[in-house]
Amino acid sequence: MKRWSFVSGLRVILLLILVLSGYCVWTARGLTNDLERIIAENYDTIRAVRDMRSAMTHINARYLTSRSVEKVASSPGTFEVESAVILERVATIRRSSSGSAEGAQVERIQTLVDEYLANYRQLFLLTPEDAERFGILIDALARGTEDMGARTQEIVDKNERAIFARRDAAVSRGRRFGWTALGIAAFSLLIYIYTSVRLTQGVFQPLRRLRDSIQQVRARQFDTLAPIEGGEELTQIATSFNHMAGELRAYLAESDQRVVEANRLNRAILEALPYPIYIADEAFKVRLKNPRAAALSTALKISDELPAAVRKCIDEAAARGCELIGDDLHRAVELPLPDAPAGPTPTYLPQVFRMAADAGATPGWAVLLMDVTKLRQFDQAKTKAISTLGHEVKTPVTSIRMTLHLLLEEKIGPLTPDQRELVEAGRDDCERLLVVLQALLELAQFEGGRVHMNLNPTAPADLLTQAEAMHGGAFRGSGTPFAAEPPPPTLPLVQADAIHVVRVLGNFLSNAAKYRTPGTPVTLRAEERADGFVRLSVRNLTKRPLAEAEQARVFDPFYRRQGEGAEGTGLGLTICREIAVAHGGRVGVWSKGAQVEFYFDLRIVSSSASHAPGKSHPLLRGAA
Amino acid sequence: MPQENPTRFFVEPPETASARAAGCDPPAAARRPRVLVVDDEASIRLGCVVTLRSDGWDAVGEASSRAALERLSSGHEHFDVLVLDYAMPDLDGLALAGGLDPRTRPPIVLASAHADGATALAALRMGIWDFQAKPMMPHELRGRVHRLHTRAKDAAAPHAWLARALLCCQRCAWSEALGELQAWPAAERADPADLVTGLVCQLAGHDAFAALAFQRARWWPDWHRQGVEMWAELARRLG
Repeated sequence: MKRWSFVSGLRVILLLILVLSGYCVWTARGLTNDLERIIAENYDTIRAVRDMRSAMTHINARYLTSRSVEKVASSPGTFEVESAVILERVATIRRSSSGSAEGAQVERIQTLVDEYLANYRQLFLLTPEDAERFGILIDALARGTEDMGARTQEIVDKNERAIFARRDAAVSRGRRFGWTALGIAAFSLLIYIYTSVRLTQGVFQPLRRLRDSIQQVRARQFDTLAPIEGGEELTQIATSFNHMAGELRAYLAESDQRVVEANRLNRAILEALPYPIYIADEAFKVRLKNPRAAALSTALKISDELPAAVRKCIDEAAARGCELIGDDLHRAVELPLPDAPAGPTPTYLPQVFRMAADAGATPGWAVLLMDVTKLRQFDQAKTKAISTLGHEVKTPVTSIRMTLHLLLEEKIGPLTPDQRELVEAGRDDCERLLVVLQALLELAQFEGGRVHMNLNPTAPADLLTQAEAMHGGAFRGSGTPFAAEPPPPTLPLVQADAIHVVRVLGNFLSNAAKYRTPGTPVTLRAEERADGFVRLSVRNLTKRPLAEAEQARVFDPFYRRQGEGAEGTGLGLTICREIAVAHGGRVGVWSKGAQVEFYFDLRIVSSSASHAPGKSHPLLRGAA
Repeated sequence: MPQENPTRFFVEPPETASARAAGCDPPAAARRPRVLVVDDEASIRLGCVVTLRSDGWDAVGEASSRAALERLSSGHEHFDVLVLDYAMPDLDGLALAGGLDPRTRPPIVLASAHADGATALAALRMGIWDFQAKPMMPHELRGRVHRLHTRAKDAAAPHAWLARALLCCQRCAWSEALGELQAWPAAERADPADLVTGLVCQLAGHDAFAALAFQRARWWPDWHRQGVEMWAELARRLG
């Protein structure tokens, strides 16, 4: 509709311009015709009359002033020339005249000219004797000239009037044309203004409304509908926009429903989980907790705060820059309840998850407290059972071993060869059993947390030196090539209990010597890691590469690789792992081809706690 | 350096050589040396008794530590060496030793399967310098008891500064022990000198010099925590 109005307005304006142009052409043509007629008729007539009068004046001045026939008759040449001019001008006047009235006047002039010329011709024919006749003719010529003057003046006046009339008509037409053009222009302007206003109202008004609707939708007012108005395109846009808004509304409703469902599901999971779960922000303020956590907080008499032990776990995770997950019972924390009845202290294994700040989520921490009270009890019971059983078994085995050794010494009596063989077999079994018992008891001590690590800032180079001093000699004595790579001088201090670290390295070295490819060296080295650890490692080339599955299990108690004998207790690496755990470090192994590396990662001392390298004990500093 | 300025560490004035041998009553040549084995485990006790008897000792066993204390305190019997088990139900080995007069008691070997640092420190402070880790081998027990018994004779030897220092240690006379060690000429020093010097310095309260001595002995000064290993190392170096 709007577009039709716009096009109609343009058509009218175009039509008016065409009309104005046609009128302009018509008016110009009329004016041109008038001018041509003025020039071709009136002006030529007036000029012919003027020329004729001039010729007659010339003739009259030549001949009428003569006083005698002789003078006139002696020079007829002037008459001949001027008469031809007069006749030609009369013919011109005849040609220029139009209408019967003018024709009559021309005929009268023609008659007067003819009489005039006839009188002169008679004048020339006179002889000197015809003086009277001369006088008559002169009078007649004078009258004829006067009549000619009057008649030609009439024609001149008439033509002048015609010129003036045509001038007035042209001026009138010009003014009329001007007013008409002005009217058409004004009318066109009105139509233009009207069309523009209608166009503005018809196009921009709907656009503005559409813009307002879009802004409202942008402001999440999804119920807003864009008005269906304006031109066809605007209507289509508004319709499409409304359709899109409708789909968005439906999508949001669906999303809301999904969120609600997910939220409900999450809440159901949180409520169904038998473990307390805390969601805390960066400031460790609890943002969400499940009913178990709420009950725990109530029992602990804390409201919106995390239990202190849990907070420590998060601090540890933050310090390590990683999540704390897993089933390592060493990380378990005890949360004694103030008003709880006597019984085992509730023990939880915190699983600390980092919640990143992406996707608009609030950064923070999620902590799931796995209740390991029973598990800890079982583990402690197991450890205690092993310890008790170990001690109970160890004492008689020790006694049997001593007895067998006494018998083999034969200081209390000789043995027959068969008796000696039997006693030697029993002694060997006792020795093996004692080694296993000793390792089991030590593992139980570690697992029971009864082994205290004396962690001091220590230079890794010192640890390598001690390991080399304690174990390198045995290596070289056995002919095994052994090399301790000089560590980089920039290695930072680490938190270490030197005795236990050297023991772990000794275990690694012993294994390396046992499983290395004959003739290949064993290397002891240290390097700094990017994650806040210094790695002490033992490398060697092995006869049988370690598969990934074996690498994962090699630190498990009593794990033995397939095809290998039962040499050793199977607990050495497990004890190494316990030592690493007690250090807050880690042990591991990797294998690439035939190369195997067992490593012990020790935590780097923070700068505030570090000491000068090589001065690992305050007593040494004081004595220096 | 402690050895360069021995008087610096003296807490008690050094005594004469005769006084050093006081309390060390070697077994009379006429009789076999007597040793009392106190252990609540019958099989261990019997094994120790048989082991020592097979070496010519007059070994006697006692199951109860309290009965042993009464027996030793009565003064009716003389023993040249005591072998005490640490873990016993009524009275542990250290408590038994503590019940005896350090000036008159026989030299003591403390046997234990799981002594910790605190136990080791307490034993050393009581002058018990001989530790026998369990399980023990017959020759280990024989060697330890024999060395302890003959230390008095070693102390009389011309260059036996270590033996004399240990005898002083058994009487808890730390400054005398340190004096003996410092009098030991550097050229004749044996392997355990630095280790024993460190221990004596630490027991006498000279921590800084103990640390220096331990460092020379390639041992860390946290020996009181790692008592078992320390004791084992000491036993190894003392032979």
